[in-house]
Amino acid sequence: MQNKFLVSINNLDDIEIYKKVGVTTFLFPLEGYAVGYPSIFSVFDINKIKEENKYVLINRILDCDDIDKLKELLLKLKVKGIVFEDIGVFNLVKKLKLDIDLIYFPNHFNTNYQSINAFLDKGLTSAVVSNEITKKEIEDITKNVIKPVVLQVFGYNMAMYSRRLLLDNYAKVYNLEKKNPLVITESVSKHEFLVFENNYGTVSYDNHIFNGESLLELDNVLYFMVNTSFIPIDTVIKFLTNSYQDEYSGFLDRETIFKLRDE
Amino acid sequence: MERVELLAPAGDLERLNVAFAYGADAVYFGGQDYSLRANAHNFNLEDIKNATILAHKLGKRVYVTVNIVFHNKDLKGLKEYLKYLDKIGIDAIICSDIVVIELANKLKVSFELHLSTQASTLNYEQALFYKNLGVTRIVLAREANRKDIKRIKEETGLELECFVHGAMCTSFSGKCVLSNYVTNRDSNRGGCAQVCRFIFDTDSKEFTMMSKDLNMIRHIKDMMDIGVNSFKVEGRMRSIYYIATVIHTYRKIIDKIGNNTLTQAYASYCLDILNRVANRESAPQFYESIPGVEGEYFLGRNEITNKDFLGVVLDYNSKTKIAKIEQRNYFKVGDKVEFFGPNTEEVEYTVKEIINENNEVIEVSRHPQEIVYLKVDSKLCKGDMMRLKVFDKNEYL
Repeated sequence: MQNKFLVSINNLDDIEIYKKVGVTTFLFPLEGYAVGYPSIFSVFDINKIKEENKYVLINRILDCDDIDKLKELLLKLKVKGIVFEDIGVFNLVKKLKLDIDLIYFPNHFNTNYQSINAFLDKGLTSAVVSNEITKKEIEDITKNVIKPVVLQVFGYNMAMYSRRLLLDNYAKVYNLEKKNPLVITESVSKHEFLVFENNYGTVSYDNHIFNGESLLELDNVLYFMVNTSFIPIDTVIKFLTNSYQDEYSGFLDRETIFKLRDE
Repeated sequence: MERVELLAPAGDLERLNVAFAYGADAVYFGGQDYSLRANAHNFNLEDIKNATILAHKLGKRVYVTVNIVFHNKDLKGLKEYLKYLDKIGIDAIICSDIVVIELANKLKVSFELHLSTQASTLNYEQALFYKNLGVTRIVLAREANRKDIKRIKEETGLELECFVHGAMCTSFSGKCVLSNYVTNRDSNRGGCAQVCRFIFDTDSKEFTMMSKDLNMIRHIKDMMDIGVNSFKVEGRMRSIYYIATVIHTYRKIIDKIGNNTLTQAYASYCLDILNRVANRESAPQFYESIPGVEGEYFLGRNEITNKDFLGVVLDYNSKTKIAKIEQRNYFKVGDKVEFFGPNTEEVEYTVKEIINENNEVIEVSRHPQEIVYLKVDSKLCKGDMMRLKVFDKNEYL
């Protein structure tokens, strides 16, 4: 099981700690190409790391300049693969004829197996399944996809990604010292979100640590993804060693609705 | 300069008729299923057919939104739906989920595939990926700036559709599930509760993350110059008055650019008209730079609904010069108003006498949808709108 975890890295020193509990595959948010992650790593940093199973995370929606610059970076990067949000990255890597894993991670999409299969059929290595669907729906996906998929099993779930600098704007308009991250509360539901911003945009996370432990039993999975952002390493280790207690499972057992009335 | 398209929202057949009458070249709407405005009136299968027939008679086009992010069970019936849309001859679907594109290709449909803004396209490589799948038009992300629009056009040759007016999401479209968490309503299947417009608090301060609306009236010519093919207005759930005013205004602007008669003064007049019809402030948002504090609302909704829309002309008798009006908001004798319509330049008018359906002279028309008669010397047409006169065009020109 431990070698199926794909764990995001906040601090390079953490790698040795994770290795002690059997984790062998790591995810590094790429400098200039990641949003919502407090720790980012340059190509130079990533190439220095000895581990074989290194993936980079490119989870921004990219503009044309980003794509142009990414061409050069990809030619320098020494990694096993890329986990990416923008399908333009797939097109780019194919043009560059790079022999690396390509894992498609369009947050909130990848909610049915036919769509995932369509992408996999185009040559993607794998796809990260959405976290806003039920366990039953995820199970149906894993049973019907043509290649193993990636499931998100632990961490704060992303709830919104804006190109705007929302925290910066908030601090400016109220003349406050900017806090980043910042916890905000929706005033009626009292639902909390953890908001984090960098130069490339703002991400709001559901401010509960998602525990998708029940997904670990599913087959046809390439990796179980663990997002360690904003979480103490001791807590992450508890999850990885099966001793994490909080059972908040997001939408795994809560189906969303979208029509409020019958037509 | 290529002929460009003015694309209007149509929440129902009434709005569709208004949009076409006021100058839209094409409309977009959703069916009862698979569309991101799940709780709008939307079109049933017969409506879609009738809308398509009507549009084609007028030499115009219809695009059907099939733009939800599908869950496994939502795929049921999709094949039959696409086959039906093909059979009745719609011009295009607007979709974001690859399953729709693949299925449409498999069915060898005749309609075009337009990639929805939900796919958040900001670069040419993504556009090329979808071009290879048979997509002929990309609805760019609202975050696309001038440089990206120009470059995507140059690198792909695809038709580009850009939003020019209406509401904005705070997030990239499709990249927000705040609604799922706060209300359990799935934003990417049409249930969005617009939570970014709700009030949040932190540090004992209340605020919203709400974006101001988009308004690109000042940049239309530039957008035409860099290759934008379709100018899209948001608002499938907006009123007929809003649709009429916004479409009428953009039609005028596009036509004046086309025949090289647009002046800054006229553009300023149009900007004021557009700002008045909306209940929120507007800005060009991402076109030139990333919007800062000026692009958002932070406190309350700041939405002021005015009562400018006074009525619709149901009929006009050229001999007696009597206009039959369906009232929409309070007006009275002495009010300065104006009429405008597809074939009616702004007609100034001071209300002198109001006659009700019982042929009685009344001072005030106060009942919504009551029928009243006004004597208006200038020729009016059925479907013209009557609004409070707020801006004097002559002062701008």
